[in-house]
Amino acid sequence: MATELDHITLANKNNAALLYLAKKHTEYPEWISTVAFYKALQIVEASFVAHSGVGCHDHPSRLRRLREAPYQSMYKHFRVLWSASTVARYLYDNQSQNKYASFEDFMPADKVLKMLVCRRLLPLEGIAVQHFLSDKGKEALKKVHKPSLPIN
Amino acid sequence: MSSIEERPKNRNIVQLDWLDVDGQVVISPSDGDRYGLKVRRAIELLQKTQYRDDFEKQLQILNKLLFQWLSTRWDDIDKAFMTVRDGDLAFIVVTQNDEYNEQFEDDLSELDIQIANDVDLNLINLTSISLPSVSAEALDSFLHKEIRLSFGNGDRTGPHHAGE
Repeated sequence: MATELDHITLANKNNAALLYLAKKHTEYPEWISTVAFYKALQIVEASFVAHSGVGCHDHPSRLRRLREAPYQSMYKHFRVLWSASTVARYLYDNQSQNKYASFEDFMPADKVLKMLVCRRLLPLEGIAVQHFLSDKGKEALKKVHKPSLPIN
Repeated sequence: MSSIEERPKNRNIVQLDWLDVDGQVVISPSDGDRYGLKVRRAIELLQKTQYRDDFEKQLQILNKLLFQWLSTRWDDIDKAFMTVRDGDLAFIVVTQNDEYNEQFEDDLSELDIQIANDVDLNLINLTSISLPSVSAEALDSFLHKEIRLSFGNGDRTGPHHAGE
């Protein structure tokens, strides 16, 4: 079973990918959404392991657990990241008469960093650090560094 | 015989409506027989067979809660469905617009948490997902082929009286 630090290591890899994609965020909003979600997933799993000793192995059980105390404060951010990445990964509509055709109609590229990374991933990280991660986990986690992001 | 492309795509959707019958709010499916079959099938898919009776009752409570939630938000919502996805119930909400709405998403998350912590809905695991305004074909992949319950638009601000 993966340890808290195993999940933090994976979260940090996702963070590195996020920073790389952020430089070209107008070209890859779908990937930013997806990578932000996967970073959040690893942080959530690290929180589960640190706080109660055991993680989850599938999305449904993870979502269920997040809806219960004491993890509910993370749920509203995680659910949005999951939902947005689902749209990014699976929803494509080439019916021209509908408003939505691609992810950029749902979330313009210049808003992805602000709306998903800063307003969802960053707060989720904060909650994990404040309430659930061990001291080693907190020290190891590479958090989103807002000033490094190309946001107006 | 029509070709596959010409067959109605909404054949498997049962529409739900909410009615006020002598002061009691009841959920009324457009096709009672199909609705009963879909509920039984959902119970199998969700592995709740041994709790069948309780699950059916909880589903009725859940549907009323969802209608109440929808009733104050139809200006933002085009369609709403209940389906089965990844082994749990899913509440799929298609918005009127295509753009992400932060407050709307927070409202959906609050709804999920409320339901998850309702002591009378201990058999219900529901996750909400909002989708932008898309075609029926694009929406199709998000709905289980057998379990498609649509929340109807009768009187969208509240249950209407039977016969109206």
